Amino acid sequence: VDTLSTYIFALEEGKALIRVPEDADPREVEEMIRIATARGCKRISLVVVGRESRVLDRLRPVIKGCIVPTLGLWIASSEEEASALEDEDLGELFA
Amino acid sequence: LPRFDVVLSTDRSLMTNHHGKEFLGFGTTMPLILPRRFIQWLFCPPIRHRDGVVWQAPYSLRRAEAALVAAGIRAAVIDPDYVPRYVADGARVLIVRHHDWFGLNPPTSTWTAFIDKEPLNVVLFREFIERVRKLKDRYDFKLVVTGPAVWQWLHKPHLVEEYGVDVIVDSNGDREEPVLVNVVRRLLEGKRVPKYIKVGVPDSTPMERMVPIMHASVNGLVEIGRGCPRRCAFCSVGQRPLRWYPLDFIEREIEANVREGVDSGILSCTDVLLYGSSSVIPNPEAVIKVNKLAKSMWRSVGWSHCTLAAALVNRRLVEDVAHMLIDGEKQKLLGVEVGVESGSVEIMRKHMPAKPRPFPVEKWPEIVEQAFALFHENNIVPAATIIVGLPGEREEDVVATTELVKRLRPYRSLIVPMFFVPMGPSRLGREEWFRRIKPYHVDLLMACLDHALYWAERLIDEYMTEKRFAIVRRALKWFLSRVKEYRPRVEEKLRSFAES
Repeated sequence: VDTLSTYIFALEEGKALIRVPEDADPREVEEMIRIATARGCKRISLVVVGRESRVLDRLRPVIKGCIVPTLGLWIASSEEEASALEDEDLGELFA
Repeated sequence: LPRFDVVLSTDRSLMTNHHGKEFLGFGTTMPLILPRRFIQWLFCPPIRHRDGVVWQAPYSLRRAEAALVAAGIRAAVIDPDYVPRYVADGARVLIVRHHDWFGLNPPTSTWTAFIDKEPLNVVLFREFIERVRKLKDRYDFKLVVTGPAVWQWLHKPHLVEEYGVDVIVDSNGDREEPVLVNVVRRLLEGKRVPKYIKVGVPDSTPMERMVPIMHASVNGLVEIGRGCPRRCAFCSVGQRPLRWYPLDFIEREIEANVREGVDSGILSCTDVLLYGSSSVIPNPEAVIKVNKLAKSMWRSVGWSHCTLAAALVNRRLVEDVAHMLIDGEKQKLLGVEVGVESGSVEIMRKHMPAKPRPFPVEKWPEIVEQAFALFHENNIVPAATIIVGLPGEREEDVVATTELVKRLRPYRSLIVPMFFVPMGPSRLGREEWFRRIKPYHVDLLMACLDHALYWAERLIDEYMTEKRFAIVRRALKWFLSRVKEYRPRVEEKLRSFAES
């Protein structure tokens, strides 16, 4: 949970925003999603800075195994872009 | 050309009506062991169109098209050969949908496990997406890929970049129209969307947000429900809530087909015999009503899937519905896909304990035999699947399945073996792929092939009775004669493969 507080930026009204580096351990990412889900989050935005193919490859088990929460994976090419993505609302896609 | 902001398409293996015979669609998964032109003509000839706007289109593309149009977005399903023209003419979003992008799903992956040739559907998709890639270099449009098998892109992540995929919408095996509409809206407004969207179970599309198709679907296929109460571990559909579409929704979709000249159709769901039921016990009144509705509007009616256990729960219902649909003139038989999956009680108990319900799992092999007999007596032809290599499978499980397949010989049917694939949204999604073929697997594969060879010729005659199918019928019989001729070599190759 200590690690989580570093990465889970927002956790409110059934939504969570998790920001992790490209080389994050998929098991840790999965654990964050599990905890956020357990706290009632139905929709999770996962923001990663890195190269698309590498991020998709690394997070494959996380994405494939995700059944209960809705997951939106945002891939940013820079930290600035990632910060801008934090304002994006995943909920709008399900309105 | 008419102008569209959004174009929906797919490759030729799906943008076809397979000569009006849905079952021929399985042929597109076959490796190119015969000349491509012949295989392509036989299994996926081009579909009629006007300026690229197709007459019949895959049902899922039709549903997405209907949702987009209902949201006020100019969208249409376009023939793959015409996509360049519409993109050049200003389409800003291209939605591509597929159910086996890279041939990783069964049965494609089953053939390629031991035949060293590319399957037709893989070749067709690659050629299509490479054309799209070139278009992306010239025109400014976004590429969205979607469908139940988009998890396959996670296994080919470099191709997401190489082909310029902008958004992947993973519906977890469900329909994703409302999400797709919002994604398209944001893209048209120039807003960001996630690279990969995985629609979780709580966001499954509720019935009231579903929009019926406006134009004809391939071979008149219309969905009558989503979800499955049996929740088998290898399957994604059971993860979703069970929803049956009301009759007026189904009627509107059949009407859309009839209006455009599709005079026969297929009722699609995981189990037509459970239509209108919230359990594994059929609701006879609802099943009769939906079939009666379909038969009143179409010449012939097919079912996509049903379960063997549901058939045995109410034999009278099966007899009554078969009697109503198979009138002997317009319709001589009723085709349906069923899951046998295994002849092993242990495998059933482990991965699909609810499949035999309400009967005990120990009775599964008897249920299969009795249901096949019931279908045979009523001119219902099951195309059954067997899953080879489920996690924890032992030699005795495979032997039990082989014995069951042999006992099914007297019943008119096809039995298709499929190697286990850990499909994305299923509970077995993280298990290992089946790769190690043992000699006892070869026995099972050959039993399935022999069953098919025993019944196929007769089925071709009964499946394609009309004169207009004379050439296709002859081509299929020629193809079958080649398979018969090659049978000993197939077995020899499989055995050497298993030993190595």
